[in-house]
Amino acid sequence: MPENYKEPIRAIALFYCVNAVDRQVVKKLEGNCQLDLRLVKMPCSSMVKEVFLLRALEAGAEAVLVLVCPKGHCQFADGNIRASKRVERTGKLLGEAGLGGGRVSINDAKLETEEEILLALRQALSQADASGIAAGSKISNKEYIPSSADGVEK
Amino acid sequence: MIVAEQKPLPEIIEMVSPFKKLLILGCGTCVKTCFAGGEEEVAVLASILRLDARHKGKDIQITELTIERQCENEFIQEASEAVSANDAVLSLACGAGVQDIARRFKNTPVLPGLNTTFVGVMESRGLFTEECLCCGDCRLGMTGGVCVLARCAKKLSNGPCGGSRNGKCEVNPEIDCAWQLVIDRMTCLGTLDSLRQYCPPRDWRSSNSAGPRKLLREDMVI
Ligand code: SF4
Ligand code: SF4
Repeated sequence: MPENYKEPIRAIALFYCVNAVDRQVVKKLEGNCQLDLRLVKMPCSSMVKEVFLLRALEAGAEAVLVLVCPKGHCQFADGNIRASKRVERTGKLLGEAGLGGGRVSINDAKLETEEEILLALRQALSQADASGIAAGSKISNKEYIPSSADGVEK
Repeated sequence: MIVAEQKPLPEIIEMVSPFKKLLILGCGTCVKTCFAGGEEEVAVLASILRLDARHKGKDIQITELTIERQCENEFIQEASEAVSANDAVLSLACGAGVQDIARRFKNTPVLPGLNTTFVGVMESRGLFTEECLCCGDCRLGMTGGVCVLARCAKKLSNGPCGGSRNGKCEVNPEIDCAWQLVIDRMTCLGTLDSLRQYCPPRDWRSSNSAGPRKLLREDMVI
């Protein structure tokens, strides 16, 4: 490996439910974690839709991670179940098209610290790598991020 | 409603591959209700096709549009501009909608994005069941509102067959025995005795077996 080799910065979009993780903790990661991280906050994970996840990939994310409340703890009854079905379907569509079904993932563990969230992000990237499609580009095209999702971090 | 499902993505990707400018045209009525061809499905498919093109290093420009119905000229006209601005249309309507679009835009290839499956209902969220074969000679009045043509695997007009077990069909135990449903319903209505009446064979000329049917309403013709 050349001496001046620098590991490429990986691009990932994080959709998170504000009831699942502490917003301040998530915000601290931004610009502070060796990742090209784009945050999309949601008042409930049920707001996540297939098209938002896909557009995050179109915008250049190599992987998309959705953080939701643990099973049985959604404040609006079944938002996390809806989110998991949509993430699953998005992965299925991507897989069917040969575009890397593993590039979208969901995590419903109770993540409290920056380190735990960072680990989940790295796991999502490894899963994306395992699915065989390396996008390797930065999230650059801001207009693609779903502004209608009520929660794009400014 | 007409129930349909999206074609497998590899088939769609192959079909649209010759075109650089593609209109994905949704239909906002039946196929929107069965989550196959409304605005959201148009947006998802457009995104997948763009990602696929980028992955293969190809250029594709996609226009997304959903009109209220693809089987009615009044609404089809709204798509005229978008159709002329593109090389091809990928229609997410039922087979009738695809054909109506193709008929009205003679110089543009129109491709089907869905497989049209049946006329049915949404039994519960996400579950659709076939309920009518459009036979042209409706006999629901004789069977308590349950269509034995569409829902009995043996299409018995005078049932049941005797093979039903625990209310399920012997051909496919996953589905309800249509004749059991008829009996339950007619018992409930107090009309079970009317089943003693023999149901004569159908005149299939009213069905699609005699070729495509036409229906003329003189009073509506101007
Ligand atoms: S084109 Fe087909 S799917 Fe669309 S409204 Fe007409 S019948 Fe329904
Ligand atoms: S009897 Fe014919 S028209 Fe009536 S529901 Fe059955 S298939 Fe449809």
